[in-house]
Order: sequence, then C-alpha cells, then structure tokens
Amino acid sequence: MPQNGLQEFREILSDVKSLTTWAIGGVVAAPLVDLVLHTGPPWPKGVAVITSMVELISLMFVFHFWTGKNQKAISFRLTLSFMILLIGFFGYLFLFASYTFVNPATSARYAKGFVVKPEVAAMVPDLIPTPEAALAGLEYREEEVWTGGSIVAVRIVLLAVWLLTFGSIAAFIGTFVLAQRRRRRRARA
Amino acid sequence: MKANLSTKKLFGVTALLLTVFTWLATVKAQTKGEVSFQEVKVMAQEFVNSDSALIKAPIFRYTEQNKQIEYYLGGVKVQALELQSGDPFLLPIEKQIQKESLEKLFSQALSKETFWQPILAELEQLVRLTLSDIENLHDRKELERQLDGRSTDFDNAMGKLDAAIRSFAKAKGYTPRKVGRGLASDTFSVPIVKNPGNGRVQVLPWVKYVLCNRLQKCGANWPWRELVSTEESMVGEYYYEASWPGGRRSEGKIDIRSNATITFTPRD
Repeated sequence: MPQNGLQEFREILSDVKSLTTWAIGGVVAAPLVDLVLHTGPPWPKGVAVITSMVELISLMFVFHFWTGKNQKAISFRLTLSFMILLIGFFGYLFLFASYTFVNPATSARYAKGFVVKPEVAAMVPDLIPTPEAALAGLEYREEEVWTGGSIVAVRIVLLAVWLLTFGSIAAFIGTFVLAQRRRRRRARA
Repeated sequence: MKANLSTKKLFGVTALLLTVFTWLATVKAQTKGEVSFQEVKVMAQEFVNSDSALIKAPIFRYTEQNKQIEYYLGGVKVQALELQSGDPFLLPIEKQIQKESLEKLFSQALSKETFWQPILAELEQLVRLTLSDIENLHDRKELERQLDGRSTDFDNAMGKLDAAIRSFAKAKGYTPRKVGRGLASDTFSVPIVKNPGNGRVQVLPWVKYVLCNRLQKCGANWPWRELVSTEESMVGEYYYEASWPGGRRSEGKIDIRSNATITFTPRD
C-alpha cells in the first residue's frame, strides 16, 4: 500500500515502464524506437531526451488530474488517448514520408520545407521536374531549395506530432495502469 | 557594470550595422563607377573585423595526428550583399572581402611565412583593375566581357594560392587537404583523376548551372568550383567543364552517389 502520493506515482511509473518495455522494448519508449527504427524527427539532436521528458510530464498530468476520476471518465480518457495516439502516429508517418529526405552520403535525415525559393520555383517543372529533384542538384542543401522559415516550420511540426504521439502513448498506458490499480484496490477492499 | 558593457556592445554593433547598411546603400546608389578602391577596401575590412555572417570563413589548420594541413579558401555569400546578381560591383566587392578574410587568417596562422603575400597583393591589384574597368567601360556588353576575363584572372590567382599552400604543406612534411565549409561531413570524399593530369576541371551544382545557363541569372559570375585536390568533397549532380593545354576539353553532367573515382578525359 503506498504511504503517500509521490510513492504511488513511483509505483505507477514503474508499472508504466514495465508495460512500455513489454510493448515496444524501450525504457521510456522513445530512445530505442528512435535508434532502432530511425523514424525519429530529424531535428533537434536530443529528441530522445525531450521525448522521455514529455512522456514523464504526460504521466504526471494523468496522475495529478485523473486519479480522482470515476471509472467511466477514465475509460473515456483511455479511448481519447488512443484516438490521439492513432491520429498522431499516422499523421507523423505522413509528414515523415512527405517532408523529410535522406542525404545519400551520410544517410542522415533532414527536414524539407514547403515554400520553394523563387529561383528554384522559376525552374520547376520546365527545367527541373520537382523541388525534390533540385535537392540533388544543390548538394542536398535543403536551405537552397526551400525558404528557411518553411524548413523551421516543418521541423517544429514534425517534432510536435512526434511528441504528441509519444505523449499520448504515455497517457494511454498511464491511464490504463491507473484504472487497473484502482480495480485491484477495490477488489482487495 | 555588466549592463554598461552590454549597452556599449549594443551601441557598437548598431553603429557597425548602420555603417554597413549605409555603405551598401552607397554602393547601390553609385553603380556608375564612382566607388573608389579605398571605400571597397575599408568596408571589406569592416566586414571581416566584425566576423560578418556573410563571410564563408577560410580555414588553415595543422592536424598533427595525421600530419595534415586542412585548408579552405573561403568566400562570400554574395546573395546577402543586397546587390543584383548582374551588378558589376559584385565581383570586386566579393573578392576584396575574400582577400581581407584570407589576409586576417594568414597573418595569424602563417605569420612567419611570406608565400601568400604576393598572391593576395595580386588579388587586390585585380580588384583595383576591375573597379577601373567598371569606371571606364560604358558599353554593357564590353564590360561583361571584360568582367568575364577578370573573373578568370581571379580564379587563376586563387588557383595559385591553392598551389602555393599545397607546396608549402608538402615542403613541411604535411599532406595538404582541402576541406569544405562544414559541408564535408555531408558529402562523399571522391577521388579525382585528370587524364592527362595537366587538365583544369571546374564544377557547378547542376541546378546552379541551369540557373546560370538557361535562366541567365548569374551574369558574369558563375559560381564555379575548381577541383584541385586528389580527393574532393562532393554529393549529388554537377555540371563540369574540363580543359587541357592545346584546347582539348570535355563537359557534361556527373552524378555523385558514392565514393567511386571520377576520371576526367578529353572528348577527342
């Protein structure tokens, strides 16, 4: 039986960690997924750490705000987390496939932009078929093809959707653990 | 005290920026050949002393671990100069800034050596001559032709500097290695072979070539890069022009997707 709130949160965190490890083979999920599947956002460099922090914060929110909720409210939140997780996951895959590219020399992945620079736009499609084709002819320097602002926007959106996905994974598992612990406690009583 | 220093610094930076913008405005207004060499030189020095972001900083460093001298001759982000791409002043301003940044670097890194001094003096003399051309030639076509020639002269002078650095490195027992401006880590290191070996090869990223050739956006200043090392940092598609003494030449498109050796041979 937990002695105080912090101890209970630690126990929940421990349950979430073991469940997450079982589910996707990571400790707080993101670092291994990022490394093994190479699907993490191309920016910034410390995305694994940021993701872990977002997951932890997400769990804290779940624990702080949803502990006192009834079973029906918990079930609704569990469904909501799952819906956000699905939307985030497929949204991220779409953005990842459409707005990132790989430099063939290093296999490093970079974000594209969505506003083509005027000098490149003047060549598409008559002289160069697509802005993506222009990348190879500009030494894979994305800032020569797209405007800096649009590249930064894509980077931030990719990161935001990635964090939303992993935040909702943590919320989903956290809510599930919360519901199960409550059920167990009720059964003991 | 800290606040005072920051305020001073802020004033200093503001004053410098104001000077730079005033100068750019002056240069823009004086596109009829009224810009003196002294004006260009002083402002180029101010750009260099302020470590302006429009300078591609040159590199010269010894790496004792593998006995190499890594170097890069630098350049200028000409788009940031706020001059039209066909503006005749672009060439002398760009080259004077490059010369000043090289001089600053060599004065520190090669203070006991003198081999670089006559070459930088030659670069500066070419800037003087180019400004004089702009002032004296009033026919646009004739000026363009003259600037084309000057551009080649500048390239030749930079080629001399490159060769001098390589000779210096070899004489000191180091292997010279030309590095890119931070691009090297994202490129293939491609062995370059010229057959015969006395040819001159220059490349241009393919899109830049289309921009300069088909859309005529570069005026006289095509951003050629001469391949002078036995290994060059490259990736993607390039247009190349190779020439040999006697007039033999070849040109075309190359696509670099691996570290495979690229051999340049004359067509005939």
